[in-house]
Parts: sequence; C-alpha cells; structure tokens
Amino acid sequence: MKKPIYALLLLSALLFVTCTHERSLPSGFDSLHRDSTGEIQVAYAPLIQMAQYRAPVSTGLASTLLLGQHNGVSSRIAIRFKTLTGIDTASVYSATLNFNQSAKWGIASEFSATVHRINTDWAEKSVTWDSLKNAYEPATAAAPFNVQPLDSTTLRLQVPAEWVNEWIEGGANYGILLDFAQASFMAQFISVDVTTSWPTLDLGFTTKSGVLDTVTIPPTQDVSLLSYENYNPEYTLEPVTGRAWIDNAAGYRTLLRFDFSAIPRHATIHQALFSLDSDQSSTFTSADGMEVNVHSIVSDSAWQNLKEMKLDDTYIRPTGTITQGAERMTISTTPQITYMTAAVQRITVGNAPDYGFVVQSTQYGRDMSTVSLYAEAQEGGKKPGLKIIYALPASPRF
Amino acid sequence: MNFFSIDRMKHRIPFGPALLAGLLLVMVHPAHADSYYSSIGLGMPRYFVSTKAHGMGGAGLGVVDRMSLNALNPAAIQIYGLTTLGVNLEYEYVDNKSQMGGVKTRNGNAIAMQFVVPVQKHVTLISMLRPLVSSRYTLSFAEENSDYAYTRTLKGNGGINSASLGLQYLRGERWAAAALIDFNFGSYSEEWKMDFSAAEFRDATDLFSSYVWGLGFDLGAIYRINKVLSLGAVYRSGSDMHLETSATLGNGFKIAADSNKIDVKYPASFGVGASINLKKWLFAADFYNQSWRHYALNGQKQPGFKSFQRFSAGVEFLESRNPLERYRRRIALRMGGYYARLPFSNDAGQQVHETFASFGIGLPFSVTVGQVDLAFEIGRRGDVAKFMYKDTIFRLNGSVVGSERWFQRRY
Repeated sequence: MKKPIYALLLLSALLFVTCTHERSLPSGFDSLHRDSTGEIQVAYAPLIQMAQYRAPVSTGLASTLLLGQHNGVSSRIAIRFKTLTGIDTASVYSATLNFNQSAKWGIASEFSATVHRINTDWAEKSVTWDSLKNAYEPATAAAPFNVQPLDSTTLRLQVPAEWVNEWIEGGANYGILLDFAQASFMAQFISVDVTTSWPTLDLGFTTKSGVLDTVTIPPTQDVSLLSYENYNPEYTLEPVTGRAWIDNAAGYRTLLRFDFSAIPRHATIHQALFSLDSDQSSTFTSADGMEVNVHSIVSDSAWQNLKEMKLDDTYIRPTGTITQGAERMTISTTPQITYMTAAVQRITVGNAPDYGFVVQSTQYGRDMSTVSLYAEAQEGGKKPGLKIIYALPASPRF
Repeated sequence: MNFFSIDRMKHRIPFGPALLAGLLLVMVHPAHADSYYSSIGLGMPRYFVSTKAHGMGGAGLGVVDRMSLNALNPAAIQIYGLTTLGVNLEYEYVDNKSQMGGVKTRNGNAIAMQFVVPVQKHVTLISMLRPLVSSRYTLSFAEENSDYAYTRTLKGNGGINSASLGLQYLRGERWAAAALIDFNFGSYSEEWKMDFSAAEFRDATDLFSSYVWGLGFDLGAIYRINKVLSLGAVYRSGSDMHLETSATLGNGFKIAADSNKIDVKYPASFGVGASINLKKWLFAADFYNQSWRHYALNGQKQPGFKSFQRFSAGVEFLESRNPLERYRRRIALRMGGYYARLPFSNDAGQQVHETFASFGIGLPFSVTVGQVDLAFEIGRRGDVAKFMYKDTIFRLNGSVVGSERWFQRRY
C-alpha cells in the first residue's frame, strides 16, 4: 500500500506547487475602492524662457568645403597635398585641382576666385580665417577661375606646376588658399573627409626615364575658413523676441527653458513629445534637412557663462530633423522619443537639474542651413512645445 | 488494540519525507486562485480546521481525531504520545464572471503545517503555521484614444499567516484545553503595470510592498460529554498589527517603508462546534464568527465591513479503525457543506456570501500512524447583479499526517 500512497503524495505535491495560472479579471478599476488608480494625464509644459547664442564653428572635419559669401558669412578654402610620393622627379608640367560642387546657397551670378600659396603651417582642426588671413602670398602665379552658381558641377582650376615641383623637392608645403574679392553666393564642394568624390590634384609629369605620365593625388587636409560680418560675438546671450536661429555656418543654437513645476515628483512620464515650429519663409536647409539634437544643460542655470556651460554627456541626446517644407518638427519616433522622455523624467524626479535645454545642429560647418524658429505664443501658438503624458502612482492598498 | 505496538523501523521512511516536504513547502503565502473580493481590506478570511474537516463542510471544532491535526481548535489534537507532523496543500480553480466577461484562474500551494510533540503525560507542545487571510487578484483595464492606447494591469498578492506556539493540557478522557501565542505576519504586494501598445511610449511598473506583523493568542477547549457527544470552542484574539509600505515607482522614485506606517486592527473571532460519534458514523457541525466590522486602519473603522459568519456541517463514514482489517474498510468517506457570509458588503449593505458542498476521503498508511486526507469542495461566491463578481470555485485540499516515536512518552 505504500507505493500508491507515495505516488499520491508526489502527484499532490506537484499539482499544488506547480499549477498556478494567472489571468486578469475583467474589470474597470472603479470597483477597486481606491482614491486613485493612476489614470493617464496630459500636460503641456509652458515655455518660460528662450534665447540663442553663437559658438565657434569647427569646419576641419566637415564633409564639405565652402567658398563664397552668403547671409553675412564668407568662406575661403585652404587645402594641402602632402603625399607626393607617386612622383619620382620634380618634373611636373601640369597641375589641375578638381572640386566636386554639390550645392549653392543664394541666387546670383558667377564670381571670380584666385589661388594663393600659404606661407605658414596650419592644423586642419584648429585653423581659422583669422590665423591665415595674413599668412598667404597676395600675388598669384595662377589665372583666376570662375565659380558657377550650380548645384552640381566640377570646378577645375590650375595650380602653378613650379609650386608642386618645389613641394616634391622638399620645399615648404603649406598648401594653397582659394580666395575671392567679392562673391554673391556660397558654393559648396565635397571635402576629403568623405569616402568618395573628394578633391583631387591631377599631375602631368615626365618620369626619370623620360616617359610622360600622370597621377591623381587626394588632399591630406582641407578646410573652410569662415568669417562673419554683422554678427554678435560668440558666447553672447541674445534674447529672442520673435525668432530664434539654428545656423550651421554662423554657429547659432537655441536655449529653451520649460516649467515642469506642475508635474509631481513621483509622476511617471510615459511620453515627452518635443516639437519645434519653423518659419518656412526664412528656413533654408539642404535636401536632407538639418539634424538637431536636444541637450540637457547641467551647469549655469542662469545662462550667464555660455562658454563654460556644461551639457549632459552621459545620456543619449534625442535627435530630430528639421526640413524645409515641414513647418513642425516633432521628435516622435523611437528611439529618439524615448531619449526625450527619459531626459524629462530625470528632471521631474530630481535626478537632473532643471536648467533648460540647448537645441543645436549636429552639422555645424557642413553647409549654410539655417532654421528660423517661432518663439512667441502670439504666432498662432507656434513655439517650441513639450507635451507630457504621465501618470501618478495609484493609491496604495493600505 | 494497543496503538503503540509499532515497529519504529517500519515507519521511519514515510515520516522523513513528510517532514522534508513540510519544511520545503510551508514557507509560502496562503494560496487561493484569483478573486476580486480578496482585493478588499486584508483579503479573504481563511477558515481552516483540517483537510478531514474540509471534506465535512469544514466542521471540526468539536471533533477529536488522532490523525487529523486540528488547526483551529488546538484542544482537539490528540496524538497519544506520538510526535506528529502534518502538512496541508490546496489547489483552487476559479471561474470568475462579471458583467464585463469571465476568466478562469487556478493556483496551488502549501497552506499550513502542524508539528506536535508530547512533553509530559498530559501536556503537548503544539506549533503551527496557519493562514489567516489571503489575497490574490489580477485586474486589467484598457483605454484607447487618439493620443494613446494602453492596458493597465494590477496584480495583487499576499496574506497573513499565523505562526503559533503553545501547549495543550489533557485532563483525563473528558476535557482538554489549549493556549497558543500567535505571531501574525504577512506581506502584500501590488504591481501596477502600464503597457502601451505603441513603442513610442515608455511602459512602467509601480510596485508597492507592505509588511505586517503583530501578536495574538488562541484559546481552545474541548469537552467530551460522553463517548458519543463532544463540544468544542475556540477564541482567537484580535491583533494590533503594524504595517509598513514601501514603493518603487516606474520612474525610479523610491518611497521608504518608514515613511508610511499604519496600525491595523485585525478582528477577534470565536467558534463553537459539536460532534456526535457513533460506531461507524461521525456527525459534526460548527458555527464561527469573526467581527470584521471592527477592522480598522489607524484607529478608523473601514466602511462596508461586516462580521464573517460561517455555518458548517458534515458527516464521516468509517467502517473500521482496526489496523488488521482490510484496507478498504479503513478508508474514511466524508461529505458536508457550509454557508458563509463574507465580511464584504455592497452599498446597499448586502453581504457577499458563499455556499459550498464538499466530499472527502481519508487514507491511512503505515498501519495507523500516517494518513493522507483529500477533500474536494465545489461552491459559489458572490453575485454579478449585486456584487459585480461571481466566483464558481473548485477546491482540492490535501494533507499528509505522519507520526513517529520521537521524544517517546510511555503512558
């Protein structure tokens, strides 16, 4: 009789211990005898402060080169070719510099530009127009060339062969500068910092054995040298009255401060929908738009020391794209919206300071894209917005 | 028949596994399948006497049985000098129906344990782990509009157990009394989950955890008027319990337990029972009352609570207790039923009630020092029209009781 008893015991134990099945009872929570069951609430965080400022634009690693003038921004090009190992003798007889033009900014006729030899060393990541504007030979041995107001073409200009021969023989090689006296638009070219279609220097030379040969050499460094007319100095806080700017060439970014005081600290933020409204009449972007991201400010709550202001670099910044033709940009797709939701949650729960946000381009120095943001509620409600969907915790059982 | 002429070697094996099973299975919450009613107050009051009593409609306050350890009236325990261990398991299957639909849930778990040791000729040491209240529910709610679509799910679980230690005094053949100190303890958890259908929303879960503890005592008595008729009575004191709740919210915010403390008044209860023991037949009936209208939080009585009252009756048929008889003649057959008014009432003051029928069987093993009891109950609780929910319940209760001559007392 023991065996059936043991089997019964074992079966009972298995049945009792393992057979648990949970399914939800169909119900509204109103029958639950609680003051609150944590219903969803929707709030719009008021925008209480908006400003803008400029910061230096680094063009050394930009994917483009800019030459010309547009919207008070002028740009020259410095370019250097160091790798001349393909030539065995200083017998270059022709040197043609080629640029692939990919866009133009402004509507105007062609302008004339010149080639100059740079006589001071420079570094691609740190060089500026101020450091080179007096560092090149004003006289040029090359004929001027014309820059065409086209969105796609190849610009070819002649570099004096004797410059190249001097570089081959070991002379000082600081590259060349493309300059202009007056320009009515900005031409955009592809730089060496992309994988294809970069500038090239086509050389015709005679080998030691007397054979004519050619070689194509890419640049080792190229950079746009930007200068500004009638712009406020960098790191100067500019209050915004009607419009705020984000500008790839001028270096503008926008500061925003929202009021989160209506969101209780223990609220769980399920979604923070961030939006920007742009004035399309003064917004100009490339075909793929201007990518912007939203940084949380973690120091300088009063926005007084912009040069030392620290932005959060721990968490991933939400990113969106402002395009010409779409008035409203909303960060609404995953995972970007989850980053924005997390950023707002950190502020409301007290894990991050509420010092505001900086909206800035991810492509400074790349082109002449400029976005004009509405800043005033009078503009038919057009202004930066933050729609927050949240829930308070339910009342506990006891 | 000398119940003590037992070969020790013969019974070592079943007692050991039973003890191990008891230790492994017993440290759990009291278990029921889901019921909306258990989300109210402290949960569903648990009325547990023994599995044998479950087979007899729950009646057992006035029943003395050596192989059935009475968890509600410790005075009715009679072990005749044998150290005895009992472990109780329960499985419940519930068909929940409301106006919005129905769902079936099930749950199985260990629910109680008793360990009884003879101390002196007339004194027995009793230790027990018993359920007092249990709570288990999963509710869900869905909403959809132009901005969002989500499902909110609340999962609640918990209950209070009583760990009791005390003594029973046996005075001759007529009467016995017992007193136990109860350490009442338990926990409750609620998980509020928000699941959005779109990935652009952040799902979140808020978790509330409450821990409760307090002291109380049990008094039990049994009086055998004659060989046929016995009367039993129990009193369980109320318990002033302390409850602390902590929370971890979906946003990472934590609320510490020491910032949310509550005093809980767990109500007292009493019960009376009678049994008539004929040669092959045993009849039993109980009445039990717990004053849930006195249930209070921080001194404030909670509205909508009334007394828990239960009326139980049952019968057992056992052809023979002679260990030399054929096994099938030593199997006990039981049936019974009960009607209970639960502490919960609706706005009109009507109390939720439940009605059950039960059947049971007792299977002795190891001659006479071990027994497996099984009880099957089927019943109904609530009413959709009056109380929003109606539960149809199928409950299987099982116990294993084994004895051994540890700390032998020669009588």
